[in-house]
Amino acid sequence: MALERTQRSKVFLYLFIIVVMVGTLFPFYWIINMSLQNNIELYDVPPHFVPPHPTLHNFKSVLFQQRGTMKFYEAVFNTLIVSFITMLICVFVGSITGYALARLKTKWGIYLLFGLIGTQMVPPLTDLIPLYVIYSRWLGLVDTKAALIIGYTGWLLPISVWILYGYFQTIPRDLEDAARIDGCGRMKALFRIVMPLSAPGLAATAIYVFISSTNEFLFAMIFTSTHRSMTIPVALADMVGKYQIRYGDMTAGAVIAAIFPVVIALIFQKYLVKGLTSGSVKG
Amino acid sequence: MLTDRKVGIFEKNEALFAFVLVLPTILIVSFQYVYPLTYSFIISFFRSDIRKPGVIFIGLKNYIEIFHNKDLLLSFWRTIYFTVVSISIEMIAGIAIAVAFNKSFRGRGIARSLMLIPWAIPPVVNGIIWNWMVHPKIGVVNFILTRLGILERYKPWLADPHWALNIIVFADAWKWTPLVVLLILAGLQSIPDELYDAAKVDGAGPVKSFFNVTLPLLRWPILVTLLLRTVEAIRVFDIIFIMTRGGPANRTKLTTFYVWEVAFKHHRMGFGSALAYLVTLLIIAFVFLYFKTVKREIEY
Repeated sequence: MALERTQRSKVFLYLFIIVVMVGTLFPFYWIINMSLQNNIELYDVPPHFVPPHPTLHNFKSVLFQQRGTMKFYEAVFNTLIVSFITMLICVFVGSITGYALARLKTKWGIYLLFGLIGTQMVPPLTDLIPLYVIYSRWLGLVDTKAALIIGYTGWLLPISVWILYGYFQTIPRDLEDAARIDGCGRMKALFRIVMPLSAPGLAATAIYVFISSTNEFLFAMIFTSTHRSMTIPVALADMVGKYQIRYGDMTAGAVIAAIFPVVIALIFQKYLVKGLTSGSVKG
Repeated sequence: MLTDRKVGIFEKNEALFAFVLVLPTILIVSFQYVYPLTYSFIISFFRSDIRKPGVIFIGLKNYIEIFHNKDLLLSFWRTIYFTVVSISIEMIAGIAIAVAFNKSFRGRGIARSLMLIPWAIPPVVNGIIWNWMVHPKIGVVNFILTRLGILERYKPWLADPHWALNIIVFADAWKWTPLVVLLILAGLQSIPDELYDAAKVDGAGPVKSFFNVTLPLLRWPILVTLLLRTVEAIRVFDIIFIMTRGGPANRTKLTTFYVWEVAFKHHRMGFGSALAYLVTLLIIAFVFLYFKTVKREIEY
């Protein structure tokens, strides 16, 4: 009787997990499925649950065809360059600030920390209106990759500091103290001892920043307009609602846009989950 | 020689060393937030309109205009509806899935990793995926529902004023529930098994021990998750831009969409800033509400 009950709950658990996983994965599977069909099969009713004649034609066509001022692959390059540089800046600046707030005694540290969280409460549009004025009229940065890098750094740096602050608190002090006693300066102790020990935290931050800037849309839409700086999400959004666009191109573009963040998230999932959840478990 | 002297200063003065380390962050954040937010707060009391010359101080007129515009007021209700409904779905589904994922089953590691996929997908792609899923002619949702007999004939979901916003809520919940699962799961894993054993000894069933043991201990992770998700939900933009552009009949025009329209399509920067500040107020109101609820819980 008791056994029966645990067995029944086990069956129920597996059923629930299966439903959840199908629900989680099916929409992503569906866009991949569509991207591998040709432009006639795509319109078929009923729809094909498996591509009848899988082809990469859509990918070739979306990447290399001229659309407006640009080709899609240029957007891919722009996105990767912007995300990579933003990632480097956020990890470097975020780590030294996170270290200072986690380890050094100051009266103002806690205020700065809360101020940084406060910036995340502001809707980006409140910020974007004045930034647009500053970037366009004063700095002449509209439609440059630099505008995106500066903007993304400002957006993601507070979160980077927050993740790294949490991580530095979990690292034992002893090694650092020992090095200091041996006559190692503060700067040297930070870069030679603390940073290497924090590699997982740095990795988590790097991945989070990279994925976030790869996926960002609103800022990029407002600040970019040509092949010089347009990123993947903007190039994709440009295709939506245009009648002359081929459906196959759009689905292939969507898969390309998703492939970088999804693959990176899956490869580094261990670090990523730790970084994302570090601040939420304990107060 | 110079570096030696520098090290000397930092050794003696910890606060100075800390200040040097945080200085870049302070500069970047000031450039990105402090100055712009002050600017947009001030400009929200001015008429800054591309159609009319000059920037003129008009006091509270921008704010008054918002409260006289019926559709803008409606957009605030839509924003609240979107936020409350999508976050309720995400929290309930997220907690349920996290509890299941905390049990041992085959393939748990893989299932947990795959959960990251919707979270990692760009919001623009999320919009495109659901555009195809609910497409009036070739959408698989229509196909499955008619095949199951739930739907009589194919439905143009996003063109239907009663459904459009709910479809967007659903698409948003699909993308963000996994994040809730991750955050809650991390909280669950920090609860020691002894507590459940003790509850079992006391004769508590699974339902009772969930409400009396698990939920109270999840208070902090739940609060953090709610805060994160609320801030994101109120400022939702990408997915609406992709899926409906505010239509049909403005039914999916949330306030942030109006801010974008007013400021960047009609170039009314002052009015847009005033509207954006009201959205900020809405976020502060939600945050305040959460903290008050949590505080009352702790006092009990």
